[in-house]
Amino acid sequence: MHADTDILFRDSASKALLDPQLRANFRRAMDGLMAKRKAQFPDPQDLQELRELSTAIRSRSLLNLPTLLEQLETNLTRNGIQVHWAETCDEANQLILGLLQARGAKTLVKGKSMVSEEMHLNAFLEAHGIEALESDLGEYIIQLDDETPSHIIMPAIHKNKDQIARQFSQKIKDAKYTEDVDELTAMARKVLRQKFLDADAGISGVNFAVAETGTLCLVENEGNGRMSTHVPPLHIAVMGLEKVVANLEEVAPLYAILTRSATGQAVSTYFNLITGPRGEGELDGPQEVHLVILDNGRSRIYADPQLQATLRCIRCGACMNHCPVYTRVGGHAYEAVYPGPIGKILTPQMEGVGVRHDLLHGSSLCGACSEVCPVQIPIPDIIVRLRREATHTDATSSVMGKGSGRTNTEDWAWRIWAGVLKRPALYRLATWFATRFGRALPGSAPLLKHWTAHRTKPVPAKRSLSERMRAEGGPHV
Amino acid sequence: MSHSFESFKTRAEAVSAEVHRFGTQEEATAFLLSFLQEEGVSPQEGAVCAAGTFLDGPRKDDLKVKVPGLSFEVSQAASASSKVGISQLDWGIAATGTLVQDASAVDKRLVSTLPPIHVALLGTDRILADMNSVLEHLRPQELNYISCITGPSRTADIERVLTIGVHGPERLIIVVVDDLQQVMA
Repeated sequence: MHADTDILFRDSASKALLDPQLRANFRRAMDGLMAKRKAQFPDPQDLQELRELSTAIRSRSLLNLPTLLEQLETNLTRNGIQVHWAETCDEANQLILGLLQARGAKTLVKGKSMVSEEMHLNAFLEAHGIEALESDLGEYIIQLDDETPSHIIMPAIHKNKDQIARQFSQKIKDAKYTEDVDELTAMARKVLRQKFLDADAGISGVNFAVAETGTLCLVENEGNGRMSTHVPPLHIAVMGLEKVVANLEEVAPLYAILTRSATGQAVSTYFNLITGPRGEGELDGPQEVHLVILDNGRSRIYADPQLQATLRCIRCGACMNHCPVYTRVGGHAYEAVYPGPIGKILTPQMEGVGVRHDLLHGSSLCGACSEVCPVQIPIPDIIVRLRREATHTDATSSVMGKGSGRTNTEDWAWRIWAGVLKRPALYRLATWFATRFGRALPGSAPLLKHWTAHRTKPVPAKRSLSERMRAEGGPHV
Repeated sequence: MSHSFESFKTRAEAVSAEVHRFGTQEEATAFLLSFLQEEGVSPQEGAVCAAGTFLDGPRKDDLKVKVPGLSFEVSQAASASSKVGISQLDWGIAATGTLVQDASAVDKRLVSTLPPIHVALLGTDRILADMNSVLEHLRPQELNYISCITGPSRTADIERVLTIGVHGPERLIIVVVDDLQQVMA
């Protein structure tokens, strides 16, 4: 069943590889991010200690997830933040639409949120006549061109400033053409400032939700997170259910490793801890704060002890910056909300290992991702596990779409292979044919052509090993 | 304490904040006055202040007279049209050059977000070693909003080129005052 879709990544990656501008944009950006991260961790032992602490905190949070989520809801509610649960993206979208419609909200500004990308919230709201404007500079740039983020931290990193200059001069009213980055930023600021002041609602993501205090933590540099959360009269935050941690003490190390791993900053410009709506008697600030907690397949991932590690992720993007595949093909080639190594294990678990089989095979399993991961997610091990899940239907497995990546062609190929190996006479016959006629087989032969399209055709030896052993008087094999 | 200040200053300046230290509140007020005048603060291009203990009492009245355009009535509209926002912060973090504030009162958030220049006032003895030392003093259960601010607003979303001043202030001026006694947040 996956035959139509399993070449998505191969095709789009091949296309991306032929685009020198795209490759140069990524190469330059990723080299810079790698160097900045490295400079933040001068002592490998300190780094390892911080990684182990962060891993322990995230693992512990997941271990106690149901309890922590209940505690979070209780404390948020006590603080005046209303909590909503959504099992699917559609439910989450409907919930948000309901909140907005009930308050007559027509326009909203968004701080950066990958979960809202996962929900395709903007398109959904626009279909219902509500304008949702991205305010993070990178998100704003890609929204102008109706694109998806190519990186979870730097959504517009696939574009260079010349491309952005052309885009702004065409799409922003009265904008002049300039390649000056300060001027481009100022243009976006001007457009968005007015939108912020006029907006009926603000939407943001959540980096950490603190169960003990009922606090939503937001990490950002631009100030748009602050604007989205305290300028409009209504603030709606969205998060995946894995984002909860026990207490504020656990946030400090996670925050420290997040910004260093992500952008190579010791801290972000802004770190906002939101514990409630505007106080009594105040005239500004959000009258209401809501939190939408999204499942979208996460409880399924949670149910498997090995795959649960996927949910430790704090969305720093370091795995992308260091991935030899991602840095060459960029984020769009993955055709998924979450690109790069974390996307390779997250997307198939959310959409089905059969339909996104392609992603699981777009990896050399080199391990660069798990080497830099701040919470030590064993991404290559999980890729291997999911490759198996894609073709097996173990009764105990909770993986979405398990076994649906199996094809008849592959099935038969392995059966024939096993049949030949089990029968020595047949094996000798097969190797006799391969050694005599293998060379004559053209590279364009069916099946073989997929291999030879990018590689030299394998040339068999003139005689098989067993033939040579017999001829040269070795022990009988 | 002075060691903490030096470290705080170095870190804050590394992320493009401007740091000034004064021995007394009188000196700090004089600086503030000349700064607002130099920036041309006027009724047309105003300044909004949510300053707390530092600018309470006679000092406030004096500044109001000398700087027409300086307002202590903070609203979203006033903040959005002002050039300078002034607020008193609660803690400084030496390790990162970060300012921490109980911003439960919305006016404190507005003056540090909307105007292009943010002047942050802080007592020298409020600078602590690291985030954990500050967390010991904070009870988020009781505070609607805590802001941690490290330098002016920034982005690197275009080609990773560092750009200062996106949505928040493009200048952060930190005024550290030795004899400013602040009550606990």
